[in-house]
Amino acid sequence: MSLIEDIQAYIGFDADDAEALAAFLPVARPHFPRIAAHFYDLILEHPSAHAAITGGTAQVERLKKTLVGWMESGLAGPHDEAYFEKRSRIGRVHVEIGLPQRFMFTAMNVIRLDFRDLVRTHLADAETAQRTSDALDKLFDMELAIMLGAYQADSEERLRQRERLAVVGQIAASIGHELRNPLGVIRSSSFLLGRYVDDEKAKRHVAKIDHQVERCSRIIEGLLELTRERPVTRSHVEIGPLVEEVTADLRESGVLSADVDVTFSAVDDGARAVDADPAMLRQVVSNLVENAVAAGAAQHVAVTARRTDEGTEISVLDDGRGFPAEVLPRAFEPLVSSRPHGTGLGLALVHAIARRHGGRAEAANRPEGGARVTVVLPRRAGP
Amino acid sequence: MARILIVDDNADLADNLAEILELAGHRCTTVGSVEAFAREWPRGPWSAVVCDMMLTDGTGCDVVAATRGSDGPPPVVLWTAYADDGRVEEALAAGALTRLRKPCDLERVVEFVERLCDEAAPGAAVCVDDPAQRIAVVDAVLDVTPWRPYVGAAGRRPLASPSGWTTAAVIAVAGAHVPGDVPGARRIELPAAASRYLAEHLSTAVS
Ligand code: HEM
Repeated sequence: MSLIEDIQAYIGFDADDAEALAAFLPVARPHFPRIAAHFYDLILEHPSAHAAITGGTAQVERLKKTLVGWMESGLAGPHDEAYFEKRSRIGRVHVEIGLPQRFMFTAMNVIRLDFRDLVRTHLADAETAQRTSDALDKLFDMELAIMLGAYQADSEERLRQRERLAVVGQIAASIGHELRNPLGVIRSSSFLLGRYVDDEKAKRHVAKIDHQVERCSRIIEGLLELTRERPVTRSHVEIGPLVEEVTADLRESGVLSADVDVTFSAVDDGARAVDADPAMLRQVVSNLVENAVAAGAAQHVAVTARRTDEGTEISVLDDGRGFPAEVLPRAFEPLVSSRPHGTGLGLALVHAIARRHGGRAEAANRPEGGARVTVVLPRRAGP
Repeated sequence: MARILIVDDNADLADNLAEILELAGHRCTTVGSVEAFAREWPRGPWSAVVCDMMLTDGTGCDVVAATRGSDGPPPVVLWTAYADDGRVEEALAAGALTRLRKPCDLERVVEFVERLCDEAAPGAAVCVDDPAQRIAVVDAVLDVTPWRPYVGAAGRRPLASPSGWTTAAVIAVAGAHVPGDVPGARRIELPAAASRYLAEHLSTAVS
């Protein structure tokens, strides 16, 4: 049995229902625009639902038309495999825009009530009204079941991906452990070699070995850090001094050249400090500043902090080239980097740390040029 | 000239570290197991011990425990790759001085051992109840003071500096249990927060 047949069998949707819907269509059709308008009015009134509509009035007008089409085809049928496919696709559109699943129930109910009203006011014959009402209920349940199927498929896919990443993480961690010892030997041997050779060319090669071993170590440490589930130990951290410290370290290690300036500003006094894990926050700031200058074009890096309803938002802005378009959507995935020498772990780690604090990280290109990465650290739950 | 005992089952690495320290004028002995360590240990006195965590027949904890039996034991520095191994904390609690990471901290290991063996430098006893925090304090001592950091005997026994050391200060992080009086030592109370604050406090304490 196909999935659509399975759903129909459970709900008890049959040819009589389809016929009742088709008979009701000419009566209901003139009211579709009004129902669609009501539907979107309620969404726009509700802030968290409104947030899903990013395209303004033009999008709403377009969506009203699609919803009218949806009502038309839902009543007209046929409720076959092709219908099921189309409805599944609509479900996926909502998953992709990140619309919370609960809105499917609330929104469907709005439609259901409007149709119930329509039946009551337009079908005089009690038996026809009852038959139509039942058929509509079944139709909307069917629609819901299909939509929710899309949400389920999405969460299964996420789970699979998480499991895949966990396996990759474990392998990476054990390889990382195993590589540290040989790297230690290479490193100490090249250190000694550097003492023994006088030849300038040989010294240059020793320096290259050191440099590359250092890189390997950084990749390994980053990978291990990413796979480690270290608990978050929060304390009061002043952001300004932290930025200064990190900047000084980055200058000392040559990552940050003297002609790039790094500034810190708190938009409001409450944002000067944050409740976070000090070592992790330091890593976040360090990685973000390093990332801002690593592409090579940035002259100014601005770290800003502000309080929001959620908690504290720390942004690092630069005036460099910004993220390449193909990298931007995947900026926080591990091993994705736009730089030939990047480890692809810096932002992944930032993201992981934000998540461990119950927050998130966002990356964007600034309209005036350059990149902006924002870390949102929610206030700690509880008293 | 100092005598340093290096415990690491990676013989190449142990030899390299020994060679680097020998270039700096020290004498080193390398061993690759807890058993070999037990044989070598009585041939002391040792100025310092550098020790890996994972050994073929035991762990760094066994090494630390064996050194603690003596009076005024030499400092033990853990040099290990296993960052999230709970045993590091166990070894620190048992009296290891601090931990440094493989493979990055090579220069740091050398710098550290050199300082620990610098007979002209007075010692500073580090008292922190949380062993993980001790790493930050010991780092700060190395970075901003001319002192040789050490931890006293483990647990609640009186602090005893390694034989022949004088004590410049007892550094206690807020609320830490200080086991006993050390003659001639100044007591410095430090806030429990970030290493930057520790460094600031220590630099004013030295000057
Ligand atoms: C019963 C519930 C709903 C139905 C039947 C419905 C129907 C549809 C349909 C038919 C589409 C077009 C899909 C396509 O492009 O193939 C669509 C897209 C969309 N819907 Fe819904 N929707 C429902 C709930 C909601 C809610 C509650 C919101 C927002 C709060 C919402 C926001 C959107 C958005 C933003 C799009 C994407 C528009 C675009 O492509 O620009 N929908 N919906």
